[in-house]
Amino acid sequence: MYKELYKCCQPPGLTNAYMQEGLDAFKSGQVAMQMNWFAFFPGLYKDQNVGGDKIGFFVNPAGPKGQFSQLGGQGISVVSYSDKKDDALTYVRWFAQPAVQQKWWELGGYSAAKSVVQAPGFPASQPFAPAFLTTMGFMKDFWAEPLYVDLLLDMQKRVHDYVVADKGTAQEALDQLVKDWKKVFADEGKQTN
Amino acid sequence: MAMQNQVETLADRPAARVAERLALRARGLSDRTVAWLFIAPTILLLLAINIFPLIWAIRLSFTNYKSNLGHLPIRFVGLANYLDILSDEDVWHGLQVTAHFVIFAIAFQVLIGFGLALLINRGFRGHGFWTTVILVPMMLSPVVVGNFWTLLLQPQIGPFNYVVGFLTGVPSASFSTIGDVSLAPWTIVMVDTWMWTPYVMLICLAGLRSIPDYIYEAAEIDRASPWRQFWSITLPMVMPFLMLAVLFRAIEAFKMFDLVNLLTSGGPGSTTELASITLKREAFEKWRTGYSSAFAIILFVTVFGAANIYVKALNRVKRR
Repeated sequence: MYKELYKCCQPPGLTNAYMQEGLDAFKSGQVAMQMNWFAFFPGLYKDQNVGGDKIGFFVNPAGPKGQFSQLGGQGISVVSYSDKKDDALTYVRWFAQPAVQQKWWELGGYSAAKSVVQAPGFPASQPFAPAFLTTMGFMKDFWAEPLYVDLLLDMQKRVHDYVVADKGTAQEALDQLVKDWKKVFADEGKQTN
Repeated sequence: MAMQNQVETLADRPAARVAERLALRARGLSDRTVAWLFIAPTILLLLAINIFPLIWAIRLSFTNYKSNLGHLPIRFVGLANYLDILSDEDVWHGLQVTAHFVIFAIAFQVLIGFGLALLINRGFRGHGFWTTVILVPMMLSPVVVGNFWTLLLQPQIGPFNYVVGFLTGVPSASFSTIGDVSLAPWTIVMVDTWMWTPYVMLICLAGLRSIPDYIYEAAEIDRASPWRQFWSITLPMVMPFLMLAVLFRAIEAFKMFDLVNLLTSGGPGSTTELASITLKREAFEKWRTGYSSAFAIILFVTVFGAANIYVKALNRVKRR
């Protein structure tokens, strides 16, 4: 299905696109619809050509195993052995305050604080706020294996070869991917071949 | 006048003293020692930036070292990296893509470059100007060439698709040369040919200009046809130059990275993933330093070996 979607609906030449390429294709009118991070929606809404009343926002449709969304971006981390640990924690406490989170949302940032998203006026505060609120309801974050970069690179290669370059079948691509991943884990001493 | 003489004398004194000191110091040094003193800095520099990294890479190629996990102990793995590479289908695929690129890029560059050299050598009006115009692509940076060809080949706004669409009637936005599995390998060949044909032309032109006119005059007296003159005089005498051009271009094409990385990044899928792009991915995306060092050594030995065989063939042609 993913391959069909790629073949039917991507603009010519968009064989290796990520968020920026997707935004470019949408803003230049090459595509009528795109999937991207919520972080870009304020900018898209303000865009003179495609924003305002010409744009609409909606949540990811449900997949075969349910409707989920993944949290993007990075959390704030505090280094346990830092000399400035107390300052960092003071900043986190300040940033987590409801008033600061509210201001953050109003300025274009995204907040998952209940004080912000459950406020009565939230759905009407931005055109994309209702979709964001719904998405937060079925957000599912994943524990990231520290080797995820290597695993993702292998997956990108195998899926790309099948979907974009028509190499082999889906089964062969995934079988090859399993071999790649076993190798990655074996290299790290986490699994023996 | 007297003042001027005095100034010259004062200025000459320290210079003369320095020369004397140098002469004293150099006295007793053999010519060979002086020669070594002159070339020593260059040799040291070459050892530091060429030989040392090569030896270091050979050492790393027998380990499981990953430079993003430099704090972990390095384990000696023997020939495992080499065996992994030589039994990896993706590596062989990359080498096939590289071979396709090298063979066709060189073939087109030699044919077109030699043809252009023959044309320029005729000395028509304004040939100097046209020679300069033809040489422009090879003077550009590969990064510049890669970027502007990406724009030229862009399906929606690129002039290339527009011209093809205008000539064939195919809608210009309906196809992408660098995004199509069957067209992308030929597109990188086309762009490399555009950039490096002038280089081959220049070497061929040097070869054509080195042929003495009296040989052609003698051939004309013998009533040899232009075709016969080409096969019996021009081609054999230009052959060493042509072979040299092929050698230089083949080595460069085998190592090709920048232009193709900018044009296609090895895509779509891995259709244009040259060996050098695979190497970069292993070394700087997956950080498999030991593995990629072994791969780099294999590529180096391949190019070095092939170049040596070719140079021997070139020498045989030159001796004829």
